[in-house]
Amino acid sequence: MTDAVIVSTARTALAKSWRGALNLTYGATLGGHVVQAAVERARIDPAEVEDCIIGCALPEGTQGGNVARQIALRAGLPATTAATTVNRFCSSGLWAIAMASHRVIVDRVPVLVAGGLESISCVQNDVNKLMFRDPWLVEKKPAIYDTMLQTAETVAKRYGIPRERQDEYGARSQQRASAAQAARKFDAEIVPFKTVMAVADKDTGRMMTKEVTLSEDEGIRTDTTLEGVSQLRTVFPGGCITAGNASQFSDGASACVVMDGKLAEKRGLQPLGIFRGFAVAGCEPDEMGIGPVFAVPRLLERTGVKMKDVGLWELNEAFAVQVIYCRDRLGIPDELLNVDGGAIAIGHPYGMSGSRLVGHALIEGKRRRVKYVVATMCIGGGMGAAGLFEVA
Amino acid sequence: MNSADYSTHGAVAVVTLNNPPVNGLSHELRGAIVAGLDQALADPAVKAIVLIGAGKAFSGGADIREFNTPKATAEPNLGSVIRAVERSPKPVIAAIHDVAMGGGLELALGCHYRVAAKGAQIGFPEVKLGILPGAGGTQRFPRAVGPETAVSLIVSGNPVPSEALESTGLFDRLIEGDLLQGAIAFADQVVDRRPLKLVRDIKIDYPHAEAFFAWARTSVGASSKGFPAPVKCVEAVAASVSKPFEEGLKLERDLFTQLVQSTESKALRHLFFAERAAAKIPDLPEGTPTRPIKSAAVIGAGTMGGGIAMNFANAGIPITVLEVKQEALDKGLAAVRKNYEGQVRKGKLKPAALEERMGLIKPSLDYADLGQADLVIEAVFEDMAVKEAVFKKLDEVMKPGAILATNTSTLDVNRIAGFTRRPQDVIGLHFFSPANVMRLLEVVRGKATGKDVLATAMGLAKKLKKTAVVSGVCDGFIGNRMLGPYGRQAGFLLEAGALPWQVDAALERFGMAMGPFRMADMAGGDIGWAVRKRLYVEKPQVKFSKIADRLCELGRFGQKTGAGYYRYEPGKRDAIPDSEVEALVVGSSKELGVTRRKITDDEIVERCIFALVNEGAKIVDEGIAARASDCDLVYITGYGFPQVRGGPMFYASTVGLYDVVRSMKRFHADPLGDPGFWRPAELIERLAAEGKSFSNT
Repeated sequence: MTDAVIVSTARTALAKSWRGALNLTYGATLGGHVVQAAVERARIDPAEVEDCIIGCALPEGTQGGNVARQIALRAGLPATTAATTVNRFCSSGLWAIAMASHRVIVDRVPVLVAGGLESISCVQNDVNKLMFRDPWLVEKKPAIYDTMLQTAETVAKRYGIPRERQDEYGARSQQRASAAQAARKFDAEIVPFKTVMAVADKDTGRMMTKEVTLSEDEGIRTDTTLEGVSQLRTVFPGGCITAGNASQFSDGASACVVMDGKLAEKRGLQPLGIFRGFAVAGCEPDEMGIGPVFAVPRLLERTGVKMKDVGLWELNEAFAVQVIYCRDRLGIPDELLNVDGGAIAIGHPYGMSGSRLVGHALIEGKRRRVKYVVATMCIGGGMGAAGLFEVA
Repeated sequence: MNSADYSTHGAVAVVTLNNPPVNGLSHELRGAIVAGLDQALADPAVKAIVLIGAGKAFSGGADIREFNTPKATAEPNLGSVIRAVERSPKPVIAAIHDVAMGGGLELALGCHYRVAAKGAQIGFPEVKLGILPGAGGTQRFPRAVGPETAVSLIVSGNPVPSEALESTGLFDRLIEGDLLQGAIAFADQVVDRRPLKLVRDIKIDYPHAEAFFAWARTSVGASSKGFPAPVKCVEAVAASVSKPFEEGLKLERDLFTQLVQSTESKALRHLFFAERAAAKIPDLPEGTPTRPIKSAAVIGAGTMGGGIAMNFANAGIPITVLEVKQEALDKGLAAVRKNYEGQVRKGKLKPAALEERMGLIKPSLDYADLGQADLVIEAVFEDMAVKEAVFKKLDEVMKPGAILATNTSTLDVNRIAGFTRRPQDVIGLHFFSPANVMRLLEVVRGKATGKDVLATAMGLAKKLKKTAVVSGVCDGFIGNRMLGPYGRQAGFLLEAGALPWQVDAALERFGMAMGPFRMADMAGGDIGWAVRKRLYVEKPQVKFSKIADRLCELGRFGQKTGAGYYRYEPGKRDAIPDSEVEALVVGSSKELGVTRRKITDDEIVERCIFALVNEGAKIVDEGIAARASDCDLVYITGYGFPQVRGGPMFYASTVGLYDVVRSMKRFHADPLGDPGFWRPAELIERLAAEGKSFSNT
């Protein structure tokens, strides 16, 4: 049996939704940019890419119509490259990489592209709400329609995690991301993107477009302090979730090239990492944030890898509260977790994040000379996903 | 009578719009423009036509005197005039100076060419009245200036000077020197140019349209919650790119019709007229002589005194601030400086202006320093004995003819005037805290207040950029008198079964900037307590819930003591529901033998808002306010009432006075809700019986 290896990764910097650099960018253009870059970085002939698997949590509007196919064409892949859009909400990007790996291993596909994108700016406000809630579910399992914010408040309450700890975590995410940015630790993944954005002049309110190049994550703040974070207003009166301890709405795309390990070797390509396994697990929808608590043990059990063998963890920071809970329940060493900050600082374009986490974990894992890295995420609706990769 | 003049200059006919003050497009003027056009077309010697405005404007748009009259839409309507211009086989040139706004700008956009003088104000103010340009403006303007500029200007409603649009296709030429001569010269150059170009035929090339307008909709929607017009403006302008011209025009018309019928637009238009009406005082003829106010003084350097001083300094009027103790004076002026420094930090004030303004504020500890001021405003503690001492002193030191004003919010201005030998010079000028921010100024007219003093106060208010509303003398004047029953009903609701945070939330959802209990906590519970203590003696018949007193007895005075109806964390202003208060409220019901019931948000809103309405109607009946719309203006500009609801009286009219009276009668039957108060005011009963509303008052 062959290995599936990741030979390149590329992502856009993350832009703030609605106010950021990607607020006018089409889905296919956004995704096409990173797919093209990933293929170039892999030094693969575009014609060799057999399939293109793209994760997206809101696959409609400018991300509709099997956007993966549009992305492939926009990226300059030939008409002979197939494509599919996949949706497992916030873990869609991770799921896409797992699927691509499965296709290499099972179906003997030599080369694929996998990744994810999300333009929250251009899709979320106009989401199709027709027949959105099934009456049976509304009656029997209403929590399936909880907002993510509600589920985070539920986790805080149910497991007694006070706001102070969440704020501490949130502030530290910013500080870690800020330090990583200053150390240029994201440069190897980010591919600058030239686009046109809309802005409103602060003083006059004049609305206009301007050309920009997005090359740095917009959400990272260098001046975040715990004191500042603790002053922020909670979303719900009497709640604990604030803009300082939750992930940011942001837009972006990420892609990687996944290929047959033997073929890569033959070509003399140096892989970033090797796919070792993937697991998902369901949990109650009203506490969706704790999904990793169930997915990670399953992943480790199936792959036979022990907690102590994992040298680096990326646990998506949907909310500080669920990261804290998952970390403590799983016993993840704090110093090996989200070492360069996470979605609270960098941003969380739902379907894109999984691909970003894998890319970053492999690059940082190599720097740290660790063997195994895990990327794990909670998923709306009540799920956890976890992927194990061996640093090559 | 014709309101457009016609003349010819060689081969150029000039139609001059002439309907002072701003050439509003009245029915008559619209007809005259078409007549002028026809005359020019019938004259074979005429090769081109210039449209120009007489006096202070090209045209300010619709004639507001025609608002709500059949003339506003009578033919030829503006659309027909523009169509006539567009169909002219001879080129029509709009020559714009000073003002081309709204319909005036739409008329210009229908012309084949536009020339303008520099500095002309160009814009579409419609959105401020809750509507959009309805004669093609949303379709032609983006074709002329580009969709980004067009949507920005139409959504904001604010004008820009003509030269700011120089780089767009709006103007064919900016003219220096004599506009008419320049326009005629331009006309001479283009007489033979064919085919004639029309703005409607321009095809907009704008690749970002879909994304940009979706973004604009989100961004505008977020900053205009509760106001439907701005988002509709975006929608209409978007159609200028996505739809053929005639379809866009139809969409604009549909949206206009929707908006003009909306309660929000009716409310905004009501307030527009309310503001104009408030400036008119029935027995004060225009041209009543006024006294010059070249200098002023304020007694008291507290929050109110300092705020009042800032108002005058901002208007460039030197003002002396008097205090009893140096320490209080220093503290007061330091607070003023800090406030200005905050404005500088935010870039709202230039650093040089800060010093200039502070230079206009002169501290003093000596009454003798005030003597020569044209106006003195007392802003000391609300106690009749204190006021008496101050006014007796002022009577001694102030020069003859000086205006003596009191900033009292409830006390009898006639009694205060009686402490002096010159009651004709005494007036109430009730500023609202923070006085440098709040727009409202209640001008309280005592029974002896001189007409020239009143006229002076009204003029001064304008200079201070305040919205002045005249009130007669009564306990609380217009605003605080209405607030009394509003607050009392909120208290009774607590006894009946509600909790403070529920009442606040319901009223805040209705649109009030702050619910009554949050507001009480901010203002300070001790202030209300002092008023109640006075009323227990002066008006024992007025009923109050005891809950407020209980809180005060516990030292819970609101934000300043860290607890009131809510609790507050040190250094923060977030009102946090407090179980101690809940226990106290529930205990009060028990003490009264009341079985607590579930109170709906609807009942909260009705009982509190209709309390304002009933008291407001009594105020109008008694002649304390000249008209119901004055009560609305007071509540919008001074009490955080939602603008889109047009004020309490207007809101009652939109509900329908018939229903309002029925609700009041229902409340009247509830022994716990102060039945005596809920007898509907005579004015409401009468209007409801006649099927009328407050706008008929």
